[in-house]
Amino acid sequence: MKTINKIDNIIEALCKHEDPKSVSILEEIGTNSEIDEIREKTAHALIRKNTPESLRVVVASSGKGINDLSARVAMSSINEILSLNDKTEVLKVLEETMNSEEKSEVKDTARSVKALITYSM
Amino acid sequence: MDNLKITQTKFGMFKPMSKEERQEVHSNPFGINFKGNVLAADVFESSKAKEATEASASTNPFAKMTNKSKMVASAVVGSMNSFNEAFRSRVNSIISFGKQIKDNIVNSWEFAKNTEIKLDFKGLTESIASKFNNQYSVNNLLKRPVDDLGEMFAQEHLAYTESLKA
Repeated sequence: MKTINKIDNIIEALCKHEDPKSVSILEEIGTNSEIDEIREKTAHALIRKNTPESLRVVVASSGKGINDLSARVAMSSINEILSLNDKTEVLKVLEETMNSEEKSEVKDTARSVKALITYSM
Repeated sequence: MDNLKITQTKFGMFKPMSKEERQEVHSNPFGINFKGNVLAADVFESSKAKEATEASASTNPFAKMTNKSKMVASAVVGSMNSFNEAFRSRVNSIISFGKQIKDNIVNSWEFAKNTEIKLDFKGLTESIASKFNNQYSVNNLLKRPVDDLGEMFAQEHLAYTESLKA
């Protein structure tokens, strides 16, 4: 089995795992990876997890998820958020981020994504 | 007033044209295509030849045969010949097919007699188990504790980063 396929399966397993520690593992190794491909897969897994903790990582953290410096990672994360069936949690986290003390760039991105979700609903 | 009887009436206009009558309106001057047989009929007969045939018609009854009927007769003969040829070729092909099947059966029987059938159950179970007992399948990974998954993720990530650098 190829290494990238093994990584895919590990990320998928962490996404499905109910242990809350799985979010911190994904954040620690996946979102801090220097490889765009792995950051993208990790952001997708955190969004699909659809918990407040996992969504905070991709929405409210600077340089991760929708705030990633790579346009490919950021755009695919936004796309994954838009394809969620239940968007109630993500809307709450976006609202939180907009009213928080985060950097203005992070707040702006959260506002834009929220507007996108509103228009797409 | 005379009564009209159905038997006296003629329904000539409903009579379908025979094949021979249709041949008359054929536009091909070099030969008439009849069921795939091209007849090399000389349509442009000279008037002298025609007179000669009319003269001989009185003595020879076969000379009365019109050009039209000759063509029909030759077409029938031609089609009979072609039918015979087709029939022969089909019979030959059936015979050769039968021979081929017979040879194949004999060969496969010889092959079957000399073949030893073995079932490698050990190898079969191993190959099936390798498909289902993959350590890195998502189902098997989900059974592991999160800390193990974290270690595996770190190891595989390191290996992948190094493979990209190499």
